[in-house]
Amino acid sequence: MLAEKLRVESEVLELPLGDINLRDFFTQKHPELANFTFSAAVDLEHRESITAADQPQKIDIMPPFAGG
Amino acid sequence: MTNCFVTGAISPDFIANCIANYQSQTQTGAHQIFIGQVRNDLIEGKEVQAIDYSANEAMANKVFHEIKAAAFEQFDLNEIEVYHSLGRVEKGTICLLVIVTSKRRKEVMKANEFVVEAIKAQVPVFGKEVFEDETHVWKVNS
Repeated sequence: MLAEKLRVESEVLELPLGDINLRDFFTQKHPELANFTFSAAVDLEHRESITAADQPQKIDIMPPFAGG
Repeated sequence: MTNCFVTGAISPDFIANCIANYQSQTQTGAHQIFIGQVRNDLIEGKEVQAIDYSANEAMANKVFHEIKAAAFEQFDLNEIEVYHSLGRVEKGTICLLVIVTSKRRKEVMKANEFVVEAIKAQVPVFGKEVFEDETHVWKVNS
């Protein structure tokens, strides 16, 4: 859904130093995201933020879940 | 880690085979089975024909595993099986199967609800509700 809206499947990110609120970070990078509910996962773990100590390999942003 | 996804709809034969496999587990006294089926909701005057499911598969399988582990910790269970569809599932056909078994009925009733609600809230599965004219909207769980 988000990939469809943003027309981006994946991208290589350069993360700023320090603690990062993921919603704020991605909304700043892709302002269209401000209109959507989304959550983030860092290396397959649900996370709202990352710290300076984290070294994520992969960050997923995901729309509301709709299983079942 | 177990792959909980199946391609397309979950067939009644598949479910029957799952149930038949439990005949050898003579310590089991109760099964609770949840079957999720695709509804033909009307959305802005258009009828849903199918749901096209996608997922963050690696994360989803990890979360399915964590939900099962949490259920085993919380309830006295013998086994939990979870299967979710990926890809297109037509209205009236089955997209989710959860089977919980235990020695006793009260445990499976509580545990099955726990597992189904956790799947709905925590597993990164996404669904496009597809209409007859092949347009779609993205499904959001209620």
